[in-house]
Amino acid sequence: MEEVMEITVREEGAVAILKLKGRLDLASGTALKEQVRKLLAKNISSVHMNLSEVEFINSSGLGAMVSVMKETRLKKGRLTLSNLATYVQEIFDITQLSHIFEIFPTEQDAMSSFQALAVR
Amino acid sequence: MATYKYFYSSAPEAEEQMLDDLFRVLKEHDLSEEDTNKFTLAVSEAFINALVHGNKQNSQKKIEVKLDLDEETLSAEIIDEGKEGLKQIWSRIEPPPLSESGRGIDLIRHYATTSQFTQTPSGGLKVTLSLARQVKQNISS
Repeated sequence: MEEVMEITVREEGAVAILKLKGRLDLASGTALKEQVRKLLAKNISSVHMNLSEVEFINSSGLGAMVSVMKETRLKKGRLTLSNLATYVQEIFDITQLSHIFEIFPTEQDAMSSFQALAVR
Repeated sequence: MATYKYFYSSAPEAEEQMLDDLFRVLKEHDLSEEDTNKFTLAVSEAFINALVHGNKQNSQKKIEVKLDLDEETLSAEIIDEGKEGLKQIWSRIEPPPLSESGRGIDLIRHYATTSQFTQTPSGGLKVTLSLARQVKQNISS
């Protein structure tokens, strides 16, 4: 069985930018939560997830994202998402999670929002 | 009509095995991307329900997945070996906004054309769902 989710991480100040590739489901959701927990234990308080290469997501993957959002809030940070495929955006809409998450069209838009908050 | 039947243990990695099998079968049948996405999500949600809530990730318990595919309809049965699964379905409440679970049944109902929840003689839950296939557009002139 091949690796179903690849997570690439880079850091910009206190923001970790995660690029997810593959399936976000029960097993990979658990791995994602673990990875974010390690980042938040360092100097990271906010997380951005670029979902452009997420091929599949189900309610377990959504649950992992809700968990990450709660963890970032505990660190007084934010979780932002960007580049959702139409199909993925629809799942967020159906579950009404699009009202809960900060979703941006592009990663650049999301990162600009962090910079805008920083200069206020 | 093409029929496929699989049995999975209720170990956490079973979901990945099931998705690998499902994607492979759907690819063989040249489905549209939209049909693939909808059907995969609905089956996946029923499977996770069986794995986590039905069999409670007890690797001794099995999950049966049966797929029937024809030109018009994609159908699936997902059967677990849990207890009182049907009671859990009927007594479920809408999850609070920040809940990390509880959205699967709503996704099945949204994406499947039909869905039915019944109890097996041994008390497990059987989810029967179907999706009416899109008519593929013929783009040749």
